[in-house]
Amino acid sequence: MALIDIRSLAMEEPQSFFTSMIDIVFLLLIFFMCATKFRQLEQRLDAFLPKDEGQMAVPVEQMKKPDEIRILVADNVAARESGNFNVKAMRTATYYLGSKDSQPLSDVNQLEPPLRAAAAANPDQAVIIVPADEVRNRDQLVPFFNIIAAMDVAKRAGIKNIKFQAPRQDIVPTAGGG
Amino acid sequence: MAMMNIRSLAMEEPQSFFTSMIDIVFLLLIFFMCVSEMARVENEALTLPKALSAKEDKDVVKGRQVINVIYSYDQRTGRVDQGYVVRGQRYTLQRLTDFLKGRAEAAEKDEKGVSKLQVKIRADARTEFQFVQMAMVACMKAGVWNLSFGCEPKKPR
Repeated sequence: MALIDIRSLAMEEPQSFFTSMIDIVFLLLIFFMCATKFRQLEQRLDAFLPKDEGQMAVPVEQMKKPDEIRILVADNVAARESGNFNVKAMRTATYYLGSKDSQPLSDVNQLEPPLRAAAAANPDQAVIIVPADEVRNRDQLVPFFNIIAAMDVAKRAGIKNIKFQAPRQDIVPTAGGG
Repeated sequence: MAMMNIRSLAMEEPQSFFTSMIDIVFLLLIFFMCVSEMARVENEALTLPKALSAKEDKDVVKGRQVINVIYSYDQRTGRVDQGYVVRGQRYTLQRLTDFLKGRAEAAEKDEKGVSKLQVKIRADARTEFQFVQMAMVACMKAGVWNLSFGCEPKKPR
């Protein structure tokens, strides 16, 4: 008759399997790495189009009211015509506050103090961002990040009402672009 | 003198450990699920403009429409390609306008009958502004007013 040696069973060393635990920890690590990266990477800037004024663009001259501040964004024409792609693609614009007769501002942050003062004086202060270029019909070619920079400064200055100039009716972007 | 029992070693049954293999397969599966989800869902790989005042992209209305305005440069030909991409498909301006009209019609309306459709324009930082402008005009024509721009967070200097 076979007998079980109870003493030898009781003395067996307890074993711990860490492999699965490490795998699960690794999985969780990868999951959270992915998730946090997504959260950090993308944000948004809200921009509301006219809700009640309807479904069509209004000419700037009609839209402009005395209390509106215009930020003119002038493209860098020399860089735009450059043969160097990096110079061309990341060209920074020159900004004017009010009109082209005002002082040209190469740094967008220079717009902040006057805009902040305007927002403090009038909480409903409106700002209109207008791409403006020396060359006629070419002012819409300014790289988008320059427009966002102007919008960002206006938002930081406390301006809530930010508008954009409507494009000219005769300009339709070509699929290939420039 | 202790002697090694060579016969018992040679006769030992070979063991296969499948646990690690299953774990690795599981990891790969999750990795590819994530990657394919990113590719399938609306976001194209773009260099977004940076903004300090941008806020976290949460409180998103269900069914928000994302429009990508892409920008790519072919070093060989020197050609720049710009255009609209929605859910991986290239759209012309006219097609985009029609598509947005359809989406705005189908979306919930507020008490004034204005569509509650939310649109996010993810435009590459280098894109000519006219492409973004025309996308905004397409939104206006479709009766969409709730608009936002995709941005990357900028660190304060």
